[in-house]
Amino acid sequence: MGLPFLRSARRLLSAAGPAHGWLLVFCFVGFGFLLMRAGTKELPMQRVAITLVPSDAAQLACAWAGTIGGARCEYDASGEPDTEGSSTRLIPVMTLDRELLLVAGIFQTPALAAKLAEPGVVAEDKRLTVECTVKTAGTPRDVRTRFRRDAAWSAPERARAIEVVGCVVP
Amino acid sequence: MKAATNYDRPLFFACALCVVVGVWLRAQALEFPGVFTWDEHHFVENARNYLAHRPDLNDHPPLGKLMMAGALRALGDTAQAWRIVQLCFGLLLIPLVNRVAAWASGDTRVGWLAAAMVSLDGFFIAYSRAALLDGILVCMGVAAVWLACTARRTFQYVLAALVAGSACTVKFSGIAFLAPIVVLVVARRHWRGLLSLSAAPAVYFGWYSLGLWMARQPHSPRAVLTDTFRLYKHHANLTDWTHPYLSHWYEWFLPTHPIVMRSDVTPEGFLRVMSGVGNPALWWLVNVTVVATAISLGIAAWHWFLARPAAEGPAQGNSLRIAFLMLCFVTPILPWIFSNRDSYINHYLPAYVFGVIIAALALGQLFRSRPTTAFVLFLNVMLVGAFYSPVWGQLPITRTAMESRLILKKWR
Repeated sequence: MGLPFLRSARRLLSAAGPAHGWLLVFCFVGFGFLLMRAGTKELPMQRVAITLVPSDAAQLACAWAGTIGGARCEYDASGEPDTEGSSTRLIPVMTLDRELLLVAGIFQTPALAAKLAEPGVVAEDKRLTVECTVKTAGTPRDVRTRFRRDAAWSAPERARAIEVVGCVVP
Repeated sequence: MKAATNYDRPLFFACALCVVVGVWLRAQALEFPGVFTWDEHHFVENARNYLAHRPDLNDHPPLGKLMMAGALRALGDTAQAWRIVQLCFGLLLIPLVNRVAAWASGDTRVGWLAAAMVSLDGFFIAYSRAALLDGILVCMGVAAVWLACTARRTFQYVLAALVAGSACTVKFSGIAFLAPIVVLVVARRHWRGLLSLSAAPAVYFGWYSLGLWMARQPHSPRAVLTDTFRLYKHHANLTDWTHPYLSHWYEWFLPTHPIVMRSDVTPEGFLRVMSGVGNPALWWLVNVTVVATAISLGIAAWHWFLARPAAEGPAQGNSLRIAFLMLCFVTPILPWIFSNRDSYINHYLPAYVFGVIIAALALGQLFRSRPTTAFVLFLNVMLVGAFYSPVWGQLPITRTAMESRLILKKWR
């Protein structure tokens, strides 16, 4: 498979005569430009593996003044309960590779809701990995998070807000 | 030779393009991010300390931080000013490498190849964009080597010694550049030149003393010695091997643990990553050519030993130059082989720069016999460099695109 290609390439270079050096340069530069741009234009859907325990639904909270896809944190920027209406609340979750995400409605996704409805899953409160297809919605600044109701707020260096397209529980 | 001539202009164009892209990757968005990343705080904080006449709390000699203090004083305490000194040295490295390679080969084409390859390698790009000391050290080291190589008169050796001594005042490991220079001067039997190398310790004391004076500390030669021994003992005791980014010298050749110095997320969700991972095509070219050169030098030495020629021919002269570059490559690695000191991949940077020059020499040699192969090899290095450039210059990319470049988990 490789040999016919090499043969054609050699024939093409011979046909170019003394200019074949330039031909090579322009081919490589053109291809190099495309490679340099690869992955820098569109932001595709992305798969992330989120780690959760069922009791997180009641424990996780964030404090932030902004809105992502209509969802807000349970607390405002000063740490007071948020008074503006929001059908779903943003919560902080961690991916398996330790990235902090802000997400709304993950416990309501059909796959995770079905898993939590299985007998004993909520009672055992074992750690689950949920694989979700997500879109990035933004990188909020000055977010504070906590992973237990009785814990103090922490201010992470960075967090990414995502919108969930769909999840599976492997 | 005629076939090689056909490639000269395209090669020059491709090399110039690499240099332009390399300069742009180093210089663009230098101010981003406006916070310290990786080890930058050690050096910027202590540059500030010098300006405020407070003691330097960092464990390296003062010159690098003194230069950074000068930039802060001149340009203000901005993110750009923290990194401008490193950028200047990173840019200066490109013509210096060109000169050393041209000297060693006697071929301007090899000089261009070396300059292009250094331009388009993330190991050098990252250390030109971060407020760290390694880029300064390497540039000074190469400058000292170039000055010594081309020196004919005593004052030129003095100049080389001054630069090499200054490199030692950036980091102690600068001494690795001084050792080959001493060997070179002895091999040339230039005894005045050898004597003039005493300028190196003199300038070391001078810079160190200036640092102590700036910090309002005792700054006599005795104080310099005391502080040097204090730092030396501190470094000698760094043998815990607990930091997650540590790597042994033999891991550098793969490499197993290049360092991601920065990773930010844009509001649109793109990543802006700056990794110190080298250009993989060049990295492996360096590995192969260094081994091949060592073997061929060994064989040449054996033949020389058997034949014992009365006079030195031009071929031997060229071999001696390549042997000198090999010495420059090996010397910076030796301390990490013979000690148990914690080591990181940045300790390979002073050796790697000479590895790149050796690779350029080998490529130049290949150009004479198989010009198309050599040309395609070089273009391949350029192609891989283009692919990796987003993760060297913090260009926004998707996570998937980042992972397709930093293919090993330990690289991320």
